[in-house]
Amino acid sequence: MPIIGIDLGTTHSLASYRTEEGSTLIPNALGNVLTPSVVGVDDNGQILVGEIAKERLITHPERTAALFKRYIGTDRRYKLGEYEFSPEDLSAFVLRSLKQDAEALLGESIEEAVISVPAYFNDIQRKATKRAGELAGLRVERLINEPTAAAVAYGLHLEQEESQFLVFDLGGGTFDVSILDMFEGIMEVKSVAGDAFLGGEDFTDMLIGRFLERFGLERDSLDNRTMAALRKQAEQGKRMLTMQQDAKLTCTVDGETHEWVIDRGLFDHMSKPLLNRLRNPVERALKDASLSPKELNEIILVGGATRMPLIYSFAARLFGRLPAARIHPDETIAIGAGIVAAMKERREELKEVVLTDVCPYTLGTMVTVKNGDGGYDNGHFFPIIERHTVIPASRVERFYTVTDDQKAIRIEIYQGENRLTRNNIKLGQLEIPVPTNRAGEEAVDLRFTYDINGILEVEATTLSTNETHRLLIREDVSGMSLEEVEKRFRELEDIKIHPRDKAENRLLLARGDRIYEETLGSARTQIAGALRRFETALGRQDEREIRKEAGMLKELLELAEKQPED
Amino acid sequence: MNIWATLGIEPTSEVKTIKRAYARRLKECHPEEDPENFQQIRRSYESALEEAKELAERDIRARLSPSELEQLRSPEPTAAKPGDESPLTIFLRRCEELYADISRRIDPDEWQDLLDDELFWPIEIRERIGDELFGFLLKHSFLPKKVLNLLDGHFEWTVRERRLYEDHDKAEITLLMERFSSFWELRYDRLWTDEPYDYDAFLRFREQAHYALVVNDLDLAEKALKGAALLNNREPDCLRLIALFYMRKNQPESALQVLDQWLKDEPHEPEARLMRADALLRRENWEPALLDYQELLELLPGSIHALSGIAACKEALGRLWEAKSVYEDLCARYPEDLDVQIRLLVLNDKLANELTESEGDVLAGARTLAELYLDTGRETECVALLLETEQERPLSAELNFLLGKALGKLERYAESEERLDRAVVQTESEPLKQADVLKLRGLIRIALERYEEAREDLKRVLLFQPSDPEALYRFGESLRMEGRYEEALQLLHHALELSSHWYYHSARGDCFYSLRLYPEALLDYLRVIQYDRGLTEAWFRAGYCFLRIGDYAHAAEYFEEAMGRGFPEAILLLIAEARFRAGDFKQAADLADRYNRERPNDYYGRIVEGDLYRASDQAVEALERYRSAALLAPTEYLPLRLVAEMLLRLDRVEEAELELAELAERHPHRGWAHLQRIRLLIAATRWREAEEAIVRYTEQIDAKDQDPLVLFYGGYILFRLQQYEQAVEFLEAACKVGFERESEEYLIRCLAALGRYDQAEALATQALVADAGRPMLVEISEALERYSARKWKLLRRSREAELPEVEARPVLPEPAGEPLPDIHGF
Repeated sequence: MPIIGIDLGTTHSLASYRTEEGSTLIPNALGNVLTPSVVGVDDNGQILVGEIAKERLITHPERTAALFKRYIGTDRRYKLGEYEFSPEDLSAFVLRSLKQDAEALLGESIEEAVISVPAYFNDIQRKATKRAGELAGLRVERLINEPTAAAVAYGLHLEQEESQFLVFDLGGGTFDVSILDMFEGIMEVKSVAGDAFLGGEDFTDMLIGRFLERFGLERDSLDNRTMAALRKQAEQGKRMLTMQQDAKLTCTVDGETHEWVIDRGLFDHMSKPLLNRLRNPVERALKDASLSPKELNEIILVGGATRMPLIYSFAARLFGRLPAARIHPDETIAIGAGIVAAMKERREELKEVVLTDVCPYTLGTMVTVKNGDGGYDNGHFFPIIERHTVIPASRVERFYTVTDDQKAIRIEIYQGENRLTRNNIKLGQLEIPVPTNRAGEEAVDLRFTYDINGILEVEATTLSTNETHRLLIREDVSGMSLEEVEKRFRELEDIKIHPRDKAENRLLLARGDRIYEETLGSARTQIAGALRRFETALGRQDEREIRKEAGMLKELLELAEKQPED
Repeated sequence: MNIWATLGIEPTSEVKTIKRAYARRLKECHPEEDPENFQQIRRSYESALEEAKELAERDIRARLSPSELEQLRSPEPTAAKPGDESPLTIFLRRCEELYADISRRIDPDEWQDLLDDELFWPIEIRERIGDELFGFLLKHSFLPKKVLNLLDGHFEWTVRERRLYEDHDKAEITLLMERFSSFWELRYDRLWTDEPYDYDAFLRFREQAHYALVVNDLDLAEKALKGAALLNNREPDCLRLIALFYMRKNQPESALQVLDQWLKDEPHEPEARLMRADALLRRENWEPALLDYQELLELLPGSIHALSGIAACKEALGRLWEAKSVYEDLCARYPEDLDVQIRLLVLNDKLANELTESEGDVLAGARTLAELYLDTGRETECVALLLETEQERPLSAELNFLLGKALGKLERYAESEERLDRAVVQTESEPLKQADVLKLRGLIRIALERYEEAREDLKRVLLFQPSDPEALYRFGESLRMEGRYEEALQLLHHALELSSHWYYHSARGDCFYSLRLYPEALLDYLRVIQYDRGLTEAWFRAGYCFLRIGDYAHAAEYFEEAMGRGFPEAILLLIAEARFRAGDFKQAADLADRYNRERPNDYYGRIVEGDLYRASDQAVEALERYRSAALLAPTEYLPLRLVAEMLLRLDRVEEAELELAELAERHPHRGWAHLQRIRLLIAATRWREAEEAIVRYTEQIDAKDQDPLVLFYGGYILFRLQQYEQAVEFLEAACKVGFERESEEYLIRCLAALGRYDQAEALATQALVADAGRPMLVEISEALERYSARKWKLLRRSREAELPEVEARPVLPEPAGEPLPDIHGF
């Protein structure tokens, strides 16, 4: 039974498999290899996936969901008609449709797949992706980082045996950079970096924002349908500009038709803030690989958004040379995933190739440190597995009690690069009991094991008792069998949707959380602060303070949402 | 671990060789299949690359002459010709130029243009630029937030904070980071004037003043503001700070002058308008203040500041009814604002007085007045008014409702219910109104403890309004009153989903508390306290929850808070317990002692105090406390029991026996004292008395309550009294109920004494199979074996088996008795 490779993308998904003759992309029922990552529910309550669903985005926006990959692993729920779906559920529909296409083409049943994920996916998102595969009836033993998959696809086509190259992957929703070193049949990922909230869609969003601004329209005042129509116009405009010098956006709002012609020069100018955001990950990846751009043999562009001439010339200026784009940018990742699937099967022609990947972010724990005044400061981040450690990797660190008669050591696991844990992402926590003793006399050995799929396991051993505790990063991460998947579908049909009580504040909080996820840098810290203060105000129930904080938060959020369009 | 051996090569500086060896080893130990070995190979590979680098360097050094080496050490010669500046220098110069020009400095577009310049794009120099700019900002940070955020977004300093600390001063970084993330921002938009001045000096003064006002250091603020005003006395933020300063100094006149100036420049600035309105209000210039507040309301529709200012002015101007409607509007908009509610109450009170005194037709305005009376807590007057009205004409549904409400508040529940009955009938055709009446009658019926009927009323309300949280809450309360906590919880959960009120939390907390779900209860009580710190009971209950979930420090803290708020001093004992469990014995003992001095006749306090000593193994002190408790309550079981316990613990056997005898006498149905006494008698080898005591025990205590231990005691005593037949009976029974280990030896001895050697020997073997580690049994068994061996040899039974001596005072198991908590609670 062949294993297929799947690129589960933000906007499109593809599947491929590899034979001795080479890689094949699997066409869907419409004969296309790209299946839009869009899921809808028709009026009879039937699920629609792909192109058809995508068309209905405009006509039935409230019964259609797209871009759900951005929220995989979160509590976000999509209400489509009478159903409520998690991002995993929706991803599972897409995966299932790809699986059926593959079965139709290969004439045998497919039970296992290798799925690609953005390098910057954290543990929670990775586990959610695996679960989506299981919900679709696929065994997913192996996840592969998208830039790595792209590099594998590229590397295998390379004529020369030894090469160091950089993969610049700008997809629909994410941006990834990775640097690889190929020698003696080894493909070694040296570094990866990226921006989980930057992709081709942001250019579309930017166009929409500018359009609204130009005609003095409020985003909130437009209904879903108009908004979806405008998105389609912006999308088309963006595509048009890759082929011709100008493009026209038209949109009818309240009976009035607005028309806007943009040329490449204007588009380039408006895109500058987005382009600026592309630079940091490139720099980080080079720095972490201790390479200068001169030492790279090649720059490879991957991902649909790199078709924009703007991106091509940006990369050329950045690296001072013309990038290579030999493989179809949309298809590279899927082909790479297919190759990794074949490697997993240990197929003859790939036997001599070994791939090593790295951990894309630093993993560590929260510690208390002595401060200058002889007291203790909490909330410091202590790295255990540094980013760009080759995986699989396992590291142990020892931690001591800080007070006399301390009863337990609290372990909080974080991911990120900041000095303070509050600015990093919390993955989970665990309390390890220790026998009471003098400060510093009791200790816990903490072992982090990061497996080849980028999934973390944490084990803590109390030294004096030799007791071992294991941390489950998330309790709800449990495999579901096929029957349970079916059961889940039946359950979904029975779910009656309760109208959530109209709580402005909660809505604002949710919005704050969402935007917090989408923002980076100082805006993110600010939002976190405002959110915390707003929550505190809510807790205190001081209405005056709540109003004040809500106002400030709203302002911040609006600012943060506008920023990419500045 | 030898890295080279792991890789399978000789040490080398050839990177290529190392890589090839690594590749070969990797194909043998695939990372997916053999992660352990892979990690080892990987580590060796990385170390080998490091060492190769060092080896190569050493090679070069060895080959170079000293002068060449010197050259290697000195920095690269800079090939800079004058006029041929590096991009880095250009960048910094342009930053300085931008910063120097105040109108450009504050313009994000200017900075954006600088960043967009392709000259600074190549990756090689960008990082340097970012580092240099950061260093520049450490010294030049008077920039609008927008610019700071733009720069940070570009160079990602806040994201990479960890690294920055390696290169710069920590305090300086912290200050700058503060600027990136602070919530306040001073204005930069009106710094520019026709005549240039030292902007940075001004900005420094202004910021200093801002911080001084934050910490209320008025002297420093004054100095800084003077400095700032000398440079620019029209800058609005500076004016704002000056006005704020005068207000703090309680000089509203001076503040007004400043604010007039500000408003002349910026008439649409809400902050200025509000400050002036507040200053005027403080000076009691009601009319102009009112105008300013109204202006503010135009600028910020719905502003709570504007509305409450308007209300206050109108009230002061005697336009009471207008003020009332503004307050009511405010109450509806901001239902949690207690200040507004109190002001409305006071105003209502004033209005009620006015209406009462007015000569006009009181009865015509009866409803308004009755409502005012109710709002202001004057229920008696409300009742009197309505009863008087009824003399003239029958009361409408509304008035009956009001009267019912007033009577209910006066706790005249029966009358209240009767009024509400009428209102229910009168509102038969108006279900919406009727729902309110029923809801109230439900409450009154709960007060009357007629829960079933209360629920009837509330059910009717819920039928009509299924999501009325108040009705759900009252329904839940009616169930809780009857102890149906689980059902009550369902309703209270639902009510809280719909609306959050402290008394919903309180009720739900009580349910959890009654169900002993302490963590859940705790959360609710904390919400109650958060709402109003004056709710003493909640402090107490939260403290109790903390105590039960083992958070003793918090328990003590909450109990102390409850006591400070007037909770009865019995709580001292709980604080003592909490302190004790938190490990502070001394404080605990002091607290218990304090309680006992305040309540000299309460024996329970002595028990708790004794418990503290007992739990910390100070038996003599504990005994003393228990003795005084027993003196205070001679008929109680517990003090005597504890006294006896302590005597036993102290091994004061004779006193203990007396005490136990007395206890058994006074409380003949409690088995523990009997059994302990029997144990003492056995230890003293007073067999006859012990036998009598056993007989008394079996007579006094119900068969089902008897401790099976008594079977063993009895068997042992009978054995010592050489009544072997009976002893066997007892001991065999004891074995069946779990005292094999204790009984076996004596059972074997009895059987041997009775000449039943085979049985004895079989039993001994069996016992040793179960546990061979009993020397006495081994000896007995060997003796029996010797005897039986001899028996077969000589074929006669001339002598008895010679068993080892019985241990004179074996350690006997103690009776369990009723469980003693380490510290007695309430």
